Amino acid sequence: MLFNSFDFAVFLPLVFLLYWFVFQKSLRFQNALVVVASYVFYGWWDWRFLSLILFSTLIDFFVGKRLGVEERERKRKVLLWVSIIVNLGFLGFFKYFNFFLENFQGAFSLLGVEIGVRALSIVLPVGISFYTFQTMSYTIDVYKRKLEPTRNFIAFAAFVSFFPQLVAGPIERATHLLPQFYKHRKFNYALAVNGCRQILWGFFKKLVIADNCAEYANQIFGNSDGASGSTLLLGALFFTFQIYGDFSGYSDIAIGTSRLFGFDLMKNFAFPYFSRDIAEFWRRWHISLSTWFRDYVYIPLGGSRGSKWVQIRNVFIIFLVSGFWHGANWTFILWGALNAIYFLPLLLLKINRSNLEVVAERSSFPSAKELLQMGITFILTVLAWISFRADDMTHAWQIYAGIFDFTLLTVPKEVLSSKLLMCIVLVLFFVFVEWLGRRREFAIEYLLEAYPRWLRWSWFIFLIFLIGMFMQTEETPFIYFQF
Amino acid sequence: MKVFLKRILTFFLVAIPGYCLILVAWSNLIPLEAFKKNMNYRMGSYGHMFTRLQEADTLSKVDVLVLGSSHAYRGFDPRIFQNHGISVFVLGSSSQTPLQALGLVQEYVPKIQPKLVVYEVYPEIFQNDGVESSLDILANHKLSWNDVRMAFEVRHLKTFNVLVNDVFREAIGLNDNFTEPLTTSEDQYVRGGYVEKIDFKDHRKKNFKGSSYTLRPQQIEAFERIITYLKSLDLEVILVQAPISGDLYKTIKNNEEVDKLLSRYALYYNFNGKVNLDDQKDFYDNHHLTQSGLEKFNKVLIETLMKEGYLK
Repeated sequence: MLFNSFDFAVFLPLVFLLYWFVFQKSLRFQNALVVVASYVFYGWWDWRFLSLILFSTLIDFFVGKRLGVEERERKRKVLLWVSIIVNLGFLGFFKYFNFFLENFQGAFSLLGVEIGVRALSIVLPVGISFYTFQTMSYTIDVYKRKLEPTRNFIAFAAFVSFFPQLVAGPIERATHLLPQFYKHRKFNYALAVNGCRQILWGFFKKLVIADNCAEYANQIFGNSDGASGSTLLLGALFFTFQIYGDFSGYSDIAIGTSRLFGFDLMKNFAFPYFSRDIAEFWRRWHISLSTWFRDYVYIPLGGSRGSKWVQIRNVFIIFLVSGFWHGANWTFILWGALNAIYFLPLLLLKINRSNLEVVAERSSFPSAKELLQMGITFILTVLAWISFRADDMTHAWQIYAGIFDFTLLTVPKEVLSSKLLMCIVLVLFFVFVEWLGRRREFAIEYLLEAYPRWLRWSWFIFLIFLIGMFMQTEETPFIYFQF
Repeated sequence: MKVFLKRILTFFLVAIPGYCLILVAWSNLIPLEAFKKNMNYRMGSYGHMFTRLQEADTLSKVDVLVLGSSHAYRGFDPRIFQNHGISVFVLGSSSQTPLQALGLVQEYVPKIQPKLVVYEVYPEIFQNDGVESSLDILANHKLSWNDVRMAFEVRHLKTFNVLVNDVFREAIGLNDNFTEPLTTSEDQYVRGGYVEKIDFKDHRKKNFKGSSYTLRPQQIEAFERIITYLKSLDLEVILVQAPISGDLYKTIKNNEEVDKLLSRYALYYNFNGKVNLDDQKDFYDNHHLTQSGLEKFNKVLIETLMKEGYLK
């Protein structure tokens, strides 16, 4: 089920009312409702893949239970590997099987050996990368004795399948989300109102910003052959805002929806395009995945300790794996590698933690230095997004070569229109509001909070109007569903 | 919890009129069309629907009423029928689906009192959601309950936006002085609801991929309601599929299945392959006839209907 669908507009109030009015007295029933609702939410797309979620849930629940009683280290390790192999096995099969097959075939054919195995027609289950990582965090934390294994299967199933964040995150840690399923939840008015605001802003980001930018990004990336450098750069810029609006919009709707049910999900985005260096960008972009890799891959590898070479190796591993997590395509690996190259000098010069606070924390405007830093970081990010969006490496190369061309300084005539102007005005409005709200969890969290209610409500109604006037009327899936 | 629900409800009660207010202000004050993405309010747009409906309001009786999409208003020339002593009015509009036709039929059939209704049933139209046509009708038709009902049946944001704007414009009389030119650079409106193509570029596509029609159940249901309504008035109804280019027609895989389905509702004629047409000269795109193609088609149609005794 898509958040931006009529089905969800019916589903959400229905589950909300059942949750707070019918099952409010029993935690077990509330959790059971979450499980049923989550399975319906997921099954709306394809019910056959529910078996994968159920299987992962069962495996990790029983592995966790055994880890709780097993004292022998060797056996504990075996149990952990069972969980990892099953989870990554599903992920590997559905997401990476054809990629490896095609690359092996390519490599062998260079040696003159033809492998006659045909690629399989595999449908990628929506959100598999997200719930796989979420459930793996449970067994790893139980193995590391950071978390007591749960005996409550319903709570665990609800944790794995929690519908607001099931298909595109935030990727929650068991240590953070699972205990919330044990506690009796009381309706919190302030939290619910906050959730509604976040949902509204999420929809604005997705339906107005992402979907309108997508129109141009798709048009330019789809016709990149012979396009001028300025047009290609414009396409990259539109994709930069598309992916941010799309993914952070999804996260906002997910977090806001969870708040309506009394849950607190982790923050996933913190105004990343106002970052002053790439390290700051990665502390602000897809936070739940970055910290997952940091905690479960980077730190176990030694992190930033050890020799320079170990540090360089670790940085590359983390970024390449992160790129590969997004999809079975060399373009994602290139995207990861570019970010590693951007990040490395900061790490080696030990300035990767120099911008920890919010930009222009105590002023309305950034300083000239901050503006320059933000501009450079933004351009680096835009350039990296090109490989992320490109269909393949040849396409990515074509766009890079096209941008770094003298036509970069020409007018992008191919796409010049009043519709383009409309899209640019919407993006500027969006950036302005994000700037105003950069110190908050999400941009409009406390915007106009000091003003009378009629003014706040007028602002929300204006946002609803902008959605109604500028949204794409076809249901468009979120980009991160494919990951 | 109760406070929350009460507040949410109050917010929506304020937000709905608030939204409408901003919508009409924005739609009528902002001059740039690009800044009105989901407000496709165009009076006198493509297809001369405004003029057609104005003419329909002045009619008393005709022999034949033609319903359908652009295939209707570009495929049935009242002048040719008039030569045979038959009066015709074409109530077609761009991409008109049964969801829109239903309201028009209920409003105009009692006024026009035709002896025969010819419904042009291009199957492609049954695949549409009806949004494009609903916008055309809302902007060019004097607001009625049928329009409101149609908007709720189409259930599309653009249709609702246009409906709100139409209510406002009609309420304060903004549409009262509108006039539509009868001739544009490409089209000429002909009395009787027909639009003649007077200048065109070649829009023909080649190399079609094979495809099948998938008719929407919602459109079929509306179509059934139209037929039932017309039959309840004891009107003769004939379903006609006007010819499309042979290149396009032969790539459609389920023509027979569609023919079978449509012939269940009323007497049905599929004129594809029944008229000697030249794909190059007789079509200006892949499915609209040129004047020469139309003359050939109308001649065969009139002969067929006369032979069967529907026209005298």
